[in-house]
This record gives sequence, structure tokens and C-alpha cells, in this order.
Amino acid sequence: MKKINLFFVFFLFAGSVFAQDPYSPIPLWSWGEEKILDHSILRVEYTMSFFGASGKNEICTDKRMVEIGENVIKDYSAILEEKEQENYRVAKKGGSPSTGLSMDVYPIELFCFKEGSIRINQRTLMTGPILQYTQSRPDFRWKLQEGQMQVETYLCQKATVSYGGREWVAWYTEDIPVGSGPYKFGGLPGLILQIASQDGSYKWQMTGIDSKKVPIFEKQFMFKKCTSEEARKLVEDMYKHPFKFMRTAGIRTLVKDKNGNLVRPGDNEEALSLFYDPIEKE
Amino acid sequence: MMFRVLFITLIGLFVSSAIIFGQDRHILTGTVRAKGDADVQAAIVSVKRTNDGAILSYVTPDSDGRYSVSFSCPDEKVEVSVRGLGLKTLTKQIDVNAGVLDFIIEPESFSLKEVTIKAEKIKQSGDTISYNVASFQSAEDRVIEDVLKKLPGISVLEGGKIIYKGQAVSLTIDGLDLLGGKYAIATKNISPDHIATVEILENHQVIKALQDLVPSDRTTLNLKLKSSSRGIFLCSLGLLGGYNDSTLWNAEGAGMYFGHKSQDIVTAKSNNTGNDLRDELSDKNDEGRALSKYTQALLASPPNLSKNRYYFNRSFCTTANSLVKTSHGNNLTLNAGYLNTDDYRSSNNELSYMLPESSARIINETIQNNITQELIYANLSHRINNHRIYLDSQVQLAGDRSDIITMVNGAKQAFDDKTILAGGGITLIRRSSEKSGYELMMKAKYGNNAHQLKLLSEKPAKQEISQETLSIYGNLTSYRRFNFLGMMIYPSLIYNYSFESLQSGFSGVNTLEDLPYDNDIAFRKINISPSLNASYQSYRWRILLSIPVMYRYMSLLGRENLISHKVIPLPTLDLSHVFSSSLDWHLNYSFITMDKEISTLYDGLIMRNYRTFTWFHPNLTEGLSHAFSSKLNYKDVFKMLFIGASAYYGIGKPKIIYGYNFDGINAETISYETSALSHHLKTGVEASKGFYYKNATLKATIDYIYSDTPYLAQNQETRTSNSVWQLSASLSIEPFARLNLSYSGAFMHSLVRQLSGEPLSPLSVFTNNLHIVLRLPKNWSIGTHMEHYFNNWSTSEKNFFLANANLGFIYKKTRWSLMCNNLFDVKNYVYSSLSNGTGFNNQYQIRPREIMLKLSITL
Repeated sequence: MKKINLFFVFFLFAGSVFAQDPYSPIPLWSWGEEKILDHSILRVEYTMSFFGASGKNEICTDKRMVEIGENVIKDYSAILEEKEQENYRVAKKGGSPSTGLSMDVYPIELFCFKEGSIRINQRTLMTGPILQYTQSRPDFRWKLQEGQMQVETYLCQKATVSYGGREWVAWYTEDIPVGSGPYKFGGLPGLILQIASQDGSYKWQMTGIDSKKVPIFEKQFMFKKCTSEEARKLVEDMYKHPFKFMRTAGIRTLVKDKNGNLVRPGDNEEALSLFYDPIEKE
Repeated sequence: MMFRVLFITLIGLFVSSAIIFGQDRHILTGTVRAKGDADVQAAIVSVKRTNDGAILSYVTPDSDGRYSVSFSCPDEKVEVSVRGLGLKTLTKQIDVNAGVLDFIIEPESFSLKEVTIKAEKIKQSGDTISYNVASFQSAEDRVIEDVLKKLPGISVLEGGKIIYKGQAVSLTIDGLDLLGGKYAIATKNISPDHIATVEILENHQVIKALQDLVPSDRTTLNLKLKSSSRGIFLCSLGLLGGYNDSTLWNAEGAGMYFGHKSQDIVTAKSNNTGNDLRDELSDKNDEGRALSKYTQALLASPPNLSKNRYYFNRSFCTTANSLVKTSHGNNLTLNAGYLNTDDYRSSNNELSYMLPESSARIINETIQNNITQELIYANLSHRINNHRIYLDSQVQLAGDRSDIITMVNGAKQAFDDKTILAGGGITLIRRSSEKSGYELMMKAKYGNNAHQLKLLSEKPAKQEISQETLSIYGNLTSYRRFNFLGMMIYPSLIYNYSFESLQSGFSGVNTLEDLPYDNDIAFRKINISPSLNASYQSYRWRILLSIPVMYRYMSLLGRENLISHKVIPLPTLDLSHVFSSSLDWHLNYSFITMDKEISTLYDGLIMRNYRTFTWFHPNLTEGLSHAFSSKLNYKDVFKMLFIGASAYYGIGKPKIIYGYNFDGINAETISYETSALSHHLKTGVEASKGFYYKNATLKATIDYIYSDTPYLAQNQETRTSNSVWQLSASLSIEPFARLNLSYSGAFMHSLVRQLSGEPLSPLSVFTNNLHIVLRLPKNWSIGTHMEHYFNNWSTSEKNFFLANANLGFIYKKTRWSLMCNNLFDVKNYVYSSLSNGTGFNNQYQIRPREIMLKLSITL
């Protein structure tokens, strides 16, 4: 199936035109309340790298923030959050919020609850719905391995796990005795400071830690609630048939031709797809 | 009975296997109870080996504090610990078979080794690599070029040319091409404080109308400004006063504005401190040939030191550069500049020419030069660049003048030279549809030059030269994508007309009376090359094949008239394969002709310098050459690692070779037809790595160069081979918060062999440079720069040392520096070099000890 070169353009009735791909969601500027779920004890910043929608020749990096509270752990894109908060301030003053991001981001936020559930809010293409679904926290069968490595100033030990159809290598530190990490990863006798899939598709590397107490909040968007299976199918469909997905989501789509003209995707519509390689393949 | 025996046997086997397999598996149970408000569920119970602390097993207690953990351990003892955020860590050593262990935990405030949340140093998105400037910048970096030198994967050559993956780059500021090839005006004046990121854009198709139609292998370096530096007036000023044997000054100012609709840079500089201002004015991407100089004053050859070590100058330079974006998005750019420089050189040379079947011819000369040069230029360009049309029109005007007074072994010579260049060009590219477009391009250049050399000694002589050149170059290309195996096949027509004329006259004592001493010749060349080109681009492959068939017409009008017609195919192949986002491979093949120039076609004698006359048997025969090159590049931006390996091999048939025929120290240039082949090989590996640790950057290169060429000496054809090993390494590091170290070193081993005659002994050169800066409290700093050179050919000291010292102070936006250069007050630098057929020993006068105070202001 032919891969799109990541240059969608969509056309709203209002007449706005935006360049888009799934890793460049439109930063929003209005939502309901910011519901405070907990307060952070630790904040850990990771650089997350992953392949973009063009495939393995495009490496994207997101700045992820993991806020660890007593009852809730929140993992989100600091780049997207920063832009949305800035948009909110601009919109409040009557200005025009920005609809573009300077960097690609991984468009999900996770809330891991102490009782063992995980709530995921996932952006879809363009003005598509924000999916919300809940899962159980996975039971990671970690294998502790010989081997030590320094990550920043922390001495880390090695552990491996098979999860989601990939083999993962994690480096955790006992110096921070919290069984947490980025994404859903956790359950080790220390904080995970680095984790990567052995196939090179995903990597998180700690780039900062502080113990600031900040509210862990969840912005109350108009979520489309669904099961994790429904979400998985919908997202897979979004990557494999992006135009079909957008049509279903009520978005009229035009693509830019080589002369810069906006035209309908035409006959190739069904043949176009985005590189789909989710964190959990199974 | 049988059943009883079998039953007992099975029971026995079961029990024994349980003993065998279960002997190292232990279970530890217990409870973790809390004192105060400690949370038992925040605890982690870990069982560890006692010798190395490796965790064998771990568990989190349930809500009642009960835990059970199983582990295997061949030792007799294990260490059990309870840890948790906000809990006091408890550790006990127990027997592996202890079975039960209880803990009572207490709350304790958690002390975190915080890691500053920081920006990544390098990140990659598609074909763009972004370097975070602040991550590589140190307090001592004054201009952005200082930071570029430290970026892994990027090299900055002496003079300011920037190289990435072995390829010259073009430079833009916020995506706009303000300066063209004269980008050193930006890199040597813009403060790194104004730059947010340095972006490398690989395979960058600048022409929007060709995007997704014609692949590009061009690399662009973009300086992305901080938003706080856009749309405001920026300024940098420098003022220096000092003393060596006379008064020293250096005054420089640059005003800049980078807005959305316009960009401007205006500079003015003057110094006598050895700063070569020509570096800023030279076009780093101009491959154009300068007009030949047929007669020249003998110049002292400058050594391989930093130019400010030996450059005795008085220079003034000013430039004005402006780019305006019109309301339609078109760019109008004006660049103008003026340079005036006086330069004094002094050296003692020993020149060895290798002659066949005899000892080397050795020439000793004491040379002093006083060189005055003036240069003025203005370029105006207008560019439309959108997805349908690219229209670039340019006009260039330039003039330069130089006067050189030379003393060679006490005899005076005077040389003067005047050149005027005018040029212009227009390029039109139109995209007619998604799969097609066309290109029309025409450039013209006119040059007029006159130069003369006067010998003002006991045997006065004067050589006068005047020359004119006109070249017109054009190209017609139709880009049309045919669906033939996914390739784009397109025809093009390249045409080139050049006219060169040369008039020369000599007055003085004629030593070779049977030859004429004047020339009046004209050389015309017409090339017409229809070409069929095919390009293929897929996810991993990029292939470009061009098969031009060139018709070449040449005519030489002079004492003897010559005409030549030739049809020759000159195929080129470019092939790239991208294995992954980290690894790519390139292969290039080209078949080229060694173009004939008028500089080897005159048959009247010209006095090249006071001891050499040149003349040639006019001959329109051209040499041919096959060139192969290959590059393998690896990059891992997360590890900040860049590695490149390259190899080049060229095999050529020069057909005509040139050499000297010596009579004492006097020589005449001779030419000779040959059927011999020449071979050139160059291979090398370049690696650079950045580290988060101590802000370090390490760069290293190794190169091997070999050539084996026919060589003409004393009317005799022989062969000479030259093999050179070059190694270089550099490291910049901040081992402590207040210490900055940067080291660069290079080693070169060169060996020249000649088929016959006296061989020259191998030359080994080793150089070391060390900068140390210690930052003191309250923004004070002290620093030193030490240089060491080793040259095994030196007739005097083989080791040579130079040192500078520096005291610095930063107050708000001002920097003060008190400098002492050449602390040991060394007067001369002795060095040697080696090339095919020639060895060179030189004692060159360098700048003496200098004390200087400098104030720099960045606004």
C-alpha cells in the first residue's frame, strides 16, 4: 500500500487550511474543567523517540512528562500541553490561537490509577474525536538481568520483558524506589529511567527529574468513550485508511497537488495509508 | 511385587528430583508494619546478593503488609531491604533459609538527586537534524562559527567553509538566502546568543517547483533565530588597542536586522592584528575559475599556521547585504562589499626540484613582499520561488587591483594587476503539471585583466600581459515523468561558449633568441551537449543517470592556427541507497575531459618570474579521466554519533604533461605528449561524537592519499608517486563547571618516490593545539592557547612552540580581554612541505609578542 508523504490538507467550512499528520495534532484552546486527580511527588521528563507516519526514515521525538502522585500517574506530551496552555491564554485575551506544533508528538495521555486501571485519552487525525478508553494495568513479567549502566547521575540495573509483541530492555534505579516508568511500564523495584524496544521502534530516555508538587489534572474534553478494542480498531483504520477515517469523522478532505492546488484525493484515496506501528502490536 | 518396586522407584525419583531442582529455591515471608503514617504499600521488599548487590527478587506487600518472595541463590546469606518513596530504607542480612522476616518501617523525607530538565542537544525529524545551540555553547563563544566548530557531524575549515558529510553546504538564515556563498559574513558576526537551533537539511530541494519531481543531494545549513532576536536591531561591536613593535588596532562593527519581510547585515572592520578579512568576502561555494596569472611576483609561501600568527596586515573591509521579501513573496537581494589590505611577508626558502638521474636542483631565495590589494563587488538578484515558477535573475560586478613590491635576494621586482568582471544570468523553471516541468538557464560572464611584472635589478626586464574572457553557459531541460519502470526520463541540452584572448610583450635581455617573446592569440571553445537523463527515486533508492554526448569545437588563432572537432559521450551516474534513517550509501561515476585552457596554448615566451620562462607547443589534445567515488554515512542523533567513510579513485590519460627544464636556477616550462596513465586514490574515515557528559565533543579523521603520475623533468619523462597519511583529532570538553578545554592535533606522513633520480626522505609533521579557559568567580576568566609543531625535515629545531595568554571579564553585554600573543616572542617559523617532484624548506617571519586589550559588545 502506498504511503502518503505526510502532507494532508483539510478544508473546513470556515475556510481554514492546515497541514496535518497524526503526530502533529491541532493544539486546542477550549475544554471543560481541569479535574484535579492528585498531586505529584515526582516529575520525570523523558525524550521519547518513535518512527513517524512516513515510516522508518522519519524519526520523531516527543518530550514526555510523567507526573507521579500517590494515587495517580499521568504521562503526557509536554510539548502539546505547553502549546495548549499557551493557546488557552491567547484565546482568553481575544487573540488567535496557533494551530500548528513545531515538533511531532505522540498524541496520547495516560492516567494510571493505584487500583490498577489505566485511562487513555487519544487524539485522532485533524478535528477527529478524542478517544477515551480504560484498560487494566498490565502484569509485567520482568526478568532481572545482570548489567549496570549510568543514566545521568543514577546507577541503573537492567531488566527485560516481553510485552505487546515486542521485547523491551529497561534500565531502572533503586535510588528512586518507585515502581513506575513511562507509558504503562512499571512494576520494577525502582524508577525506569530508560526503556527501548529491541527492534528500535520506541525509546524513552530520562532527561530530567524534580520533586515539584503540582496538581495532576485531566482536561475535560468532549471525549468519545469507547472500549480499548474499539479504539484499537478505529486507530488502525485511521492509519491504514486516513481519508476514509476523516470522511467518517465528518471531515471534508482535500490534498495539495504539486502545484499547490487543493484537489480531492481522487481514485488513490483508498490506496493511501500512513505507517502504522503501535507501541503494542498485540 | 513388581508394582510395589515400580511404585517405590517412582516415589524415590520424584523425591530426589524435588531435592535436586529445589535445592536453591527459597521462600521468604513476613510482614511490613508501619510506624507513624508510613504507607506499607509504597514499600518494595528486595532480596539481593551480598557480594554485588544484584537484585534476585522483589515484591510489594499487600494492603495488610504481608509479603512472600521466592528467590534462588547459591550463597549462604542474602541481603533483604525495604525501600519506598518517603520511607526509611531498612536492610538486613539473613541466612537464605531463614524463611521469615518482619520489618517495621518509618517515614523519612525523600532526598532526590534532581536532574535539570533540559532540552535535547540534537534531534532528527525526517531529513532535518536540529542542534540546540545553547547545549553546545560556552561563555567563550563570541560568534556562531565558534559553536558550529563544536557540533558533531559539522566541520568548519580555515577560512570559514562549512562541511557536512564531506560536502560543502549552503547557508540560510531563518530559511532565507541573504548572503549566498559569502555566508562567513553571518557566521563570523552573528552572536550565538541570537540563534536557537542550527538545522541541517539533507536532500534539500530549494527550488519549490522541482520538489517531488527532481531529487536533490544538496545540504543546507539553516540558522534559526530565537524569536526574541527577530524583528529587532542587533549589533555587535569590537574595539582593540595594543602594541608589538608598533601600535595595534582592531575595530569592527556589525548591524543586523532579521525580520519577517526583510533581512539586513552591514559590517565594517579594520585591523592590523592579523585578521584576514578576505575570508568573509570569499564565495565558499564558487567553483568558478579565476583569471590566470601568466607572470607573477615571487611570493613568500605562507606556512600552515593560523593566519593571525604570520599575517602582517593593514586591512579595511565593509559589506552591505539586504534581502527584501515583496508582497508576492519574491526575494530581492543586494550584496556589496569593499576590501583594502596591505600585507608584508618575509621568508627564506630552499626549493628542491627532483631531477631524473641527477641530484635534486636546489634554489635558495630570500623573499620580502609588500602586497596591496583592493577588491570591490556588487551583486543584485531577484528570485521568485513558488510551487509553479522559479525565476532567478542575477547581475554581478566586481573589480580588483593588486600591487606587489618584491625583493628576491636583494633584487627588486614590481608587479601590478587589474581585473574587471561583469556577469549575469537568468534561470527559469516552470512546473507545468505534477509530472512535468522545464528549465531554461543562461549565464554570461565577461572578464578583463591586465598585469605586468617589472624586474628593477641590474638586468631590467618587463613582462606585460592583457587578457579578455567571455563565457556563456546555458541549459534547456524538460522534466517529464514517464511511467517506465517508475523512472523519470528527461532530455536536456547544455551549451557553452567561451572566448579567451591573450596579448603579451616582453622587453629586456633575450636569453632564448630563437623563440618569439610576444603573444597575440585567441581561443574559442563551443560545447553542445544533448543529454538523456533518467532518475529513479523510491523509498530507499535514488539513481540519476546522465548520458550527454558532447560536441566540442575549439579554435586557436595565433602564429599557428589550430581547429579541433570532437564528439564524445561523458556519462555520469549517481546512486544512493538509504539502508535506514541512520545509514546511507552513495556511489558516483563520471567520465570527464581535462579541458584545454589558453594558459597552456601560447607559443611566445612569457617571463613567469625572474628565473622562469614559459611557452608551449600549442596542442588541442585533451586528456580523459574516469572518476569513481563512494561514501558510506552513519548517524545516530540520539547518541550524537556521526561516521563517514569515503573512497575516491581516478584513472586518467593526461596525453600531455608539463615540466621544467633547468639551466642553473633558470628554468623554462616544457610540454610533452605521453601515453602514460595517472592514478589518484583517496580514502578516509571521519567520525564525530557528542556527549552529554561534560559537554564533550570528539572528532577524528584519518585519510590516505596516493597518486602515481607521469612527470616531466629536464626533457625526460619519468613517474613520481606520492603517498600521504593524515590523521587528525579534536576534543572539546568541560571537565569541571569552570574549566573549558579544547584540543586539536594532526599528524601527516608524506613520502615521494620517483622512478629515477634522487628520492626525497619522508616528511613527518605533527601539530598540537590546546586551549584552556578557567572561569573564575564574578565573570572573570583566564586562558591560554598553546601550539606545538614537529617537522622532521626542519634543518634547525624540529620542535616549535607558541603560546598565548588571555585574561577575560564579562560585564552584562560587554566582554573585556587582555591578551598576550606569542609569549615567547618567537621570530620565525621553520617548516617543510613535499609534493610531486618538489621539496620545500621555509623559514617564515611570524608576528612578534603582542599585548592587546579588546572590548566586545553584543546588543
